[in-house]
Amino acid sequence: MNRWIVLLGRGGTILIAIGCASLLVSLIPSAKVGSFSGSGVATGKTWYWPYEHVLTPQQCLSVSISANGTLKAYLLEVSFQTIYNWIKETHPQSPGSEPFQYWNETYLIEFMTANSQTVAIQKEIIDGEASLEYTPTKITNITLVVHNPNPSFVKYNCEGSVLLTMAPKITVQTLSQTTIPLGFFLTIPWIINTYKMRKEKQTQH
Amino acid sequence: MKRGKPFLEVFASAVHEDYRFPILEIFVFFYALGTFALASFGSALSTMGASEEAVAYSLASSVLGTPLFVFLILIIKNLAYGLGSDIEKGVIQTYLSYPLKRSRILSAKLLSAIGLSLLILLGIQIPALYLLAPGIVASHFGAVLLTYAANLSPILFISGIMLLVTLIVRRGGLALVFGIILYFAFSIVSSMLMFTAFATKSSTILQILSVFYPSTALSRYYGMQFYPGIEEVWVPTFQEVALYIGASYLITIFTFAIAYIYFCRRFSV
Repeated sequence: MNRWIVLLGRGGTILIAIGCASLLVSLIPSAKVGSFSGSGVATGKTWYWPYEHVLTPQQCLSVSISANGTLKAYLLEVSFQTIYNWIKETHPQSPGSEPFQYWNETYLIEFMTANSQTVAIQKEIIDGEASLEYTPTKITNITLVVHNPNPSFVKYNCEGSVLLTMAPKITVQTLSQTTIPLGFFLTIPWIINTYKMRKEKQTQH
Repeated sequence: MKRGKPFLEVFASAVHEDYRFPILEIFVFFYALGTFALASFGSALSTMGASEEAVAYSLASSVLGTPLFVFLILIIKNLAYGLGSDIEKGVIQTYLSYPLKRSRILSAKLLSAIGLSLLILLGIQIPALYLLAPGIVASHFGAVLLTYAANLSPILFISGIMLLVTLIVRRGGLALVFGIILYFAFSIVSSMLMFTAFATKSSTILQILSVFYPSTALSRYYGMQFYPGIEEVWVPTFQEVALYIGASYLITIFTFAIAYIYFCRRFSV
């Protein structure tokens, strides 16, 4: 019985140690390693790609987009070149001869329907501001796409930054919030037991 | 006394001695912290056209440098200082009086000294790597395990030699110093051999080095560069890498087998 208490207690202290390490990691601030900003007018029924980048799991992309109408923002887990090549292969007649046609929303919707796994985040902005935050689980190409589904013009403005973190903040925070209390819970019987044994020893002396 | 209980008694006593509070917790803390602090995708990103498997290898390698050294320190402490002191102080005599085979006494000591240390290292680092990059680690778990296997082999080989030395010299302090010297000697010799291989463009040197340091073959397989132009010298196939890892573990097993034979047949208190 006593050995089980010790075993659980040491398991608890190990969990506390893991929790403390992850807590420390979560407290380390992120470093800004890149930023971008841009504004423009999105023509009706078209799409644009204001930003593309390669992200590692230690990088987090934070984007805020504002618009004076309804816009859709997508974060796609592919490079722009992949989207371009796909459209070029699917509709060989369109790009080049009529550049404006290339940005037609139909092509984007077709691409996203055929490659739905590439859509990491999708948000709708209605006369206001929306923010996106994304941390990949592997080294990933990402493309930010702004899509105007309305027939009218929409003015938009987007700002973003790439933050370098030691580890995904939410994950390590959750880990520390789980392991530290659980560790303490497992350690309590061991601490009580050790305290009792010490007291017994003191009274014997 | 139940069969197996003396084994557990020796094991429990060894664990109690090797991992007194808060030694285990400090190591766990640093392994966890070290994994996040040392993890880097840098070398994979700098290698043009690196496959996702190579990225997994590069990520696992990046967290192994210092923690492996710390892992060795823990083993040196447990083997040289722990077992060595037991021999010096005559504690081993008590163990030998147990109704237990000598080989099982040594197994219990090694399970605590090396087995538990290994469990802590792998049990902390691999889940931490998964938290960091779940997409890479989950889809290339084999590559991550292979990287660990290749990097741990020389450390376990040094541990085997140290065990043998500890049993022969029967002095904790002396074995401790020997272990540290051995590690530095191995590191220096491997770096010198690596440079010589690069300077002479000799694949044979890299192949010899890979028998003791299979991580050399694995890094060449994944196309990681130590020196510019080394890719022209030697690029092993996966089968060759597996062979080098297997050979290095055979040497390690052989070293431990000698230590076991010595402890069972020649060792006297």
